[in-house]
Amino acid sequence: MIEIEDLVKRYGGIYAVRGISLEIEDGSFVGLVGPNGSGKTTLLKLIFGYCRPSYGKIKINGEAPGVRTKSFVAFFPEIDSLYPWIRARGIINWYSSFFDDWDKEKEKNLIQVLDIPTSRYVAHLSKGMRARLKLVLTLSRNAKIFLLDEPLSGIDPSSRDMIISAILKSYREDQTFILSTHIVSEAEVLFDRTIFLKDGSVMIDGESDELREKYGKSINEIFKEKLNV
Amino acid sequence: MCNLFKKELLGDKDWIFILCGFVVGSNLLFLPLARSTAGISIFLPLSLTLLGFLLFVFVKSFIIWKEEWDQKKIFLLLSLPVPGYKIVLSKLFVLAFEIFLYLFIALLLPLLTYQLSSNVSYGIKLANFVKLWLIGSFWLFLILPFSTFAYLLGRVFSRFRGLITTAGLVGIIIIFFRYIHFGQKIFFFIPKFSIKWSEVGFFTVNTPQIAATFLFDLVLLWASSYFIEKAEL
Repeated sequence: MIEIEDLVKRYGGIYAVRGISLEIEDGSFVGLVGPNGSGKTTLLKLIFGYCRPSYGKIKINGEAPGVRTKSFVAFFPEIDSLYPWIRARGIINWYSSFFDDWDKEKEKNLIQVLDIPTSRYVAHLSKGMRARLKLVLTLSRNAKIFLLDEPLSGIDPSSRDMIISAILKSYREDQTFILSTHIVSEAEVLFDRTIFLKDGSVMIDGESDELREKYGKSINEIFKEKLNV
Repeated sequence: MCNLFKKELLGDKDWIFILCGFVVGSNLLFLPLARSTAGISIFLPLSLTLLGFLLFVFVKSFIIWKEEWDQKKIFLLLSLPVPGYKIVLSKLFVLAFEIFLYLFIALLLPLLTYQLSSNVSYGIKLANFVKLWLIGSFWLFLILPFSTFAYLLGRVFSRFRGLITTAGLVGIIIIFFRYIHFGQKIFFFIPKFSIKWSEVGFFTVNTPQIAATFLFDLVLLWASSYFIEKAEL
């Protein structure tokens, strides 16, 4: 369970996150949607422990984010964080050696589904392939919590479909997924719960089906209307 | 830990080749002069490589961290459930490994030439240079945690990182020089010892000073490990 209380993250005089309080139950698939600069990435980075709150608290299964929580939380960064001088197979082997929850079978399936050329150097992979490789590194774990930051951003449509289907196949009901995106139309099928962020604050938060019923629209349409995207 | 070290070594292989090439190249360039201008033949490659080596490794102790951040690869490294000290040590071990590799290569060629051309008068005592290299490398190894500390201190803050790193490095050097006299007193009980080497005579190893520096390094390593766990990405 993730508990967030009065969370604030300030960079100088600029607020990236302002006063967010949330509780995310185990086993839910949460969509974090909002335009660029709404605080999605900062919120995920705070949950993972990549940065520290200026104010407020975060607890993941009762623990503050840190080295210990990284053993059961997996993070997919939006930015290209892979070493270019290593082969795809090499980076999978290297990365997997640090995790007790690594699932070899999942890794094999993901490599196949996402069509990763494992013998190629990372530097020689396209942007879409590198995103898919990062997804192998993230989803091959049997982590309790997955934080996926913009996995569909800047990716061609065919790769996007592969990524969505890989996420769907990986999802187990005892795991929590939080996926941030501003490409809502293709990802909304995944969300049990949707949190709309704007200017670092929660604008709307609810069960996806209830929101659709309440507004009589799809999540994508609510996103466009409420956030003026 | 071993996997972290392996990754650092692989990531650094281009730099290792470049510096080894520089060391071998400068030796090969000057050593053929051995017969005609014997006095400078050993002096030049050893001086050049020693100066280049000391400067380069110290600068590199910053680069090894800066590259990780600038190229955003730190996201992958800090996603691992590994304590900060292991990450810090893996990078320092690679630098230490490189110091010993360059030291070996830099001294090998002149030593071989010296052995093979024992009738030639070199105008300098090679042993003096070997001593200089060993002392230089040893102290370089001891001060490497300074740059790591300063760089990671800057990374804890989300603003004015360059300024904080520079101030951190200057500050830690000032603190070190103020501390070292006091530090030597703490370790007064460790006896100094002298080494007798026929080529250079006696030289004394100040073991209390080395122990005090080592203690200072341990504190810096502990702080650096804390900083990397608190770094802002």
